[in-house]
Amino acid sequence: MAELIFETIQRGVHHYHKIDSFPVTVGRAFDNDVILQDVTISPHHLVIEKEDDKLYLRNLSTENGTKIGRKKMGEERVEVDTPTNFQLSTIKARLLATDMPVENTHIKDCTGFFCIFSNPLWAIALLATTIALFVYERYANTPVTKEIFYYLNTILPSVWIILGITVVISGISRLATHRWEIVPAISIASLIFLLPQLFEYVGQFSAYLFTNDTLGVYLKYASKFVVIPALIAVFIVKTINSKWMPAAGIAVLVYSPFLAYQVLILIDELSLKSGFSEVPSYSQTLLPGDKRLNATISLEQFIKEAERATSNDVEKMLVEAKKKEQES
Amino acid sequence: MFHIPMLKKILLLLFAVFLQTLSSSAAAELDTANIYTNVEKSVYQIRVLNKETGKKSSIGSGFVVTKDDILATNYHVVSEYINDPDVFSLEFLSTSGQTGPLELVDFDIVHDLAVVKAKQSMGVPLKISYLPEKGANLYSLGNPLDLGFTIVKGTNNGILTKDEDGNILFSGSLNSGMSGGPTLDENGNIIGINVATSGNDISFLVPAEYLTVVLERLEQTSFKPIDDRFAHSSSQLLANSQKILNKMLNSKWSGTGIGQFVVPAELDKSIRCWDASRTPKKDDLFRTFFTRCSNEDNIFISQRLNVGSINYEYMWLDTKKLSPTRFYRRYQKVNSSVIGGRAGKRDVTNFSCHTDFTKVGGRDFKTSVCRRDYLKFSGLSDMLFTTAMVGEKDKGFIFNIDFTGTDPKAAIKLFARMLETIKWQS
Repeated sequence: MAELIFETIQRGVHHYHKIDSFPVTVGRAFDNDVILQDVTISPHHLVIEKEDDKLYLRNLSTENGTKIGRKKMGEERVEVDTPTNFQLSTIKARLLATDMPVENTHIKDCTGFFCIFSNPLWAIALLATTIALFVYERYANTPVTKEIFYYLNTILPSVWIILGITVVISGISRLATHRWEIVPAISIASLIFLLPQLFEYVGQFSAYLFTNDTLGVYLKYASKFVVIPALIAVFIVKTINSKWMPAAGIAVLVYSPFLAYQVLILIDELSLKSGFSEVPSYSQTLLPGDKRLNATISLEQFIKEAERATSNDVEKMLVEAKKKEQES
Repeated sequence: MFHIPMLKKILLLLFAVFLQTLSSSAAAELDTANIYTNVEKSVYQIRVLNKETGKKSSIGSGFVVTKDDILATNYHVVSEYINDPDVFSLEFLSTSGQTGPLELVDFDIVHDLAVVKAKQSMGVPLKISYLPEKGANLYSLGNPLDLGFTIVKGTNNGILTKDEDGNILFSGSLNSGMSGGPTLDENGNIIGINVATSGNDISFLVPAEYLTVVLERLEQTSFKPIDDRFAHSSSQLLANSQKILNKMLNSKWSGTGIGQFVVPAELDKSIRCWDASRTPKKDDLFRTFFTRCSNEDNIFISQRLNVGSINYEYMWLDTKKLSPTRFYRRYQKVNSSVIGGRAGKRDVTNFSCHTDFTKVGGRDFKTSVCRRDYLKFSGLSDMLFTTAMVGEKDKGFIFNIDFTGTDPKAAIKLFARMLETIKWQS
C-alpha cells in the first residue's frame, strides 16, 4: 500500500500520485518520479524526503520556487505534516495521508423542493406561465383593442431573452460538470422573470392595503439586486453540488455587469431622494378590489390630520434648511 | 424687461382690441412733442448693475413722482437688486446722459411697483391722475431696448374686467426697457405705469392708484426705506393670497357636470376653464373627460420664481368594455399630479404629503394633501391636493388642484369646500 498521496491541481483538474518510496523528485524533466507538464515548473523543482518517520520538502527551483502557505521556501529543507498545502510555482499541491476520510457521496437524484425544477414537466409549465404572464401584462396595460399579432410581436423578444439566459446558465453547468442541465436552467430562467413580476403584484397590493409604498420599494430593490444572483446560486448548488459560498461568488460574478448598472441607477435614485425633488411623492396606487386597512374617514378629520402632519414635516425641513444655511 | 402674460390672455384680447382701435376717435389733439418736452427731464432709465463687473444686468424706466428725489418703477425692473442686494446695485441714467446711484425705499410686489430714492434732485415730480374714458389718447414714455428715450402714442382701453386688480389695457406699442416708465394722459399726468406687452399693440399698464397707495404709506414714514425685503414680500403675497382665496371661498360657484359628478367650475371671474378631453376614437374601450381650470395670474418674484397660480382639473373615466384590472391600470396611470413653476432647491423645501380615504359626494375617495414651504418667504407655501374615487369597478374620477405661493390654511379651506360641493348624480 502507498505511504502517501501527492495531489496536484492543474487548471482545475486534480491529479493524485501514489508515493511508495522516498525520496520523491518532482519537476518537468523526464527523469523525475512525478513529472509536471507546466512551463513555469523547473526541470528539477522539489524533493519530498522521509527520515525517521518525518516528512521533509526541499525546494530545488531557483526560478519560480515553492511556497508553503504564503512563505517562500529557501534552500533549507522544511519538515511538514499531512495534510499540507503548498504551491509549486502556480500549481497548487497537497500531501495527504492515505487514510484521510473523503467527502460524503452526493446523491445524484435531487432532494427537496428543487426537484420540481429538474422535472421537465414543471420546467415547461413554469416557462409557459411566464410567457402567459407576459402576454397578460401586455394585454392589461393596453386599454384598446389589438390583434393577437400585436401581443405576439411584443412578447417574442422576452421569450428570446429567457432562452438566452437558459443557455448561459446551462453553459455554467457545462463548464463545471460537462453536463448541460438544460431542464433546471429553463426553470431558473423562467423564475428570473416570474419572481420580479410577482414581487410587483405583492408590492402594489401592499401599497394600496397599507396606503404606504415602503414594502413595494423594498421588493423592487430585491427583484433588482437579489433575485437573479440568488436563483443562479441555487442552480449551481443544486446541479453542480458546489458549496453555497463559492456558488454565490460565481452568481454575483455572472450577474456583475447588470449589477453594476443597477447600482449606478440606485446611487442616482438615492442621491435624488436625499436631495431636492420638485415632484411630490404620495401614494398613487389605485386597485379595483379596494382592499385596504385604512377606513374611510370624514373630510373634517382628514383635513385636520393632513394639516397637522404636513405642517410638522415642513417645519422640520425649514429648521434643517436654516441649520444648513448657517453652517455654510 | 417684460414678463409676457399667458398666450390664452393674448389671444382673448386680440379681437377686442381690434374693434376698439377701429372705433377710437382722434378727437383730442395735443402735440406729442409738447408732452415729451414737458416730462422728458422727469423720466430716467433705471439700471441694475452687477457690482463685480460694473456691467448692467437689466434695464427699465422710471419717473420722478411726489418728491424731487423719489422715483417710481416696476418691481420686476429692480427685482434682482431687491432679492440680491449684495450682488447687484441700482443706478439711473438721465436723458442727458447723467448717471447716479439709487436705493430701494419700498415696493408693491403684487402690483409690480417699486419706489427708489436718489441722492440728488431729479427734476419736477409728475402728478398722478385718474384714468380717462375709454378711447382717450395716452402717451407712454421709456427707453425701449436701450435705444434711447422715446414716447409712444396709444389708446386707453380700460381696466381688464376679469380681475378686480386688473391692469389697464393700453393699445400702443410698449417694448422691453419701457417697463416702469410712465403713461400719461393728454394733460401730462400719470395714469399708469408700463408693465407688460403681448406684442401687436397690446400692452398693459399698472393703474397709478396702486402707486398712490405706496406713496401715501411712505408719506407716513417720511420715506424711510423698508428693513426686511423678504418679510415685506411675504406679508404682501400672503395678504394677497388670503384676499383672493377668501373671495373665492365666499363667492357663489357655478356647477358643471363631468361624468356622474357635478363639480364647481369657475370659482370667480379670474378663473377660466377649458375642456381638454381626448377626442374619442372608434376602437376606444373607455371614455375620458377632462376639464382644466386656471387663474391666469402670476406674480413675478424673480426671473426664476412666479407665484399666485391656481390650477385645477377634473378627470372622469368610465368603461363598459374593459375588465376592472385593465380599467384600473389606465386609471392608476393618469393618477399623478405635479406642480408647475420653476421653484428649485434654493427656493422651497421638499413636499410633505399625507394620504387617506375620505367621503366625497357620498363616494369613497383616496385623497392626498402635499405642502412645501418657501425658504425665504416665510409663511408662503405651495399646496397640491389630489383625490381619486375608489371602489367603483368601471368608473373613475380624479380632482387635482394646486396653488403656488399661497397661505396653506386658506388653500386647505378652499379645497375642503370644493370637495364638499362635489355631488354625485345617479
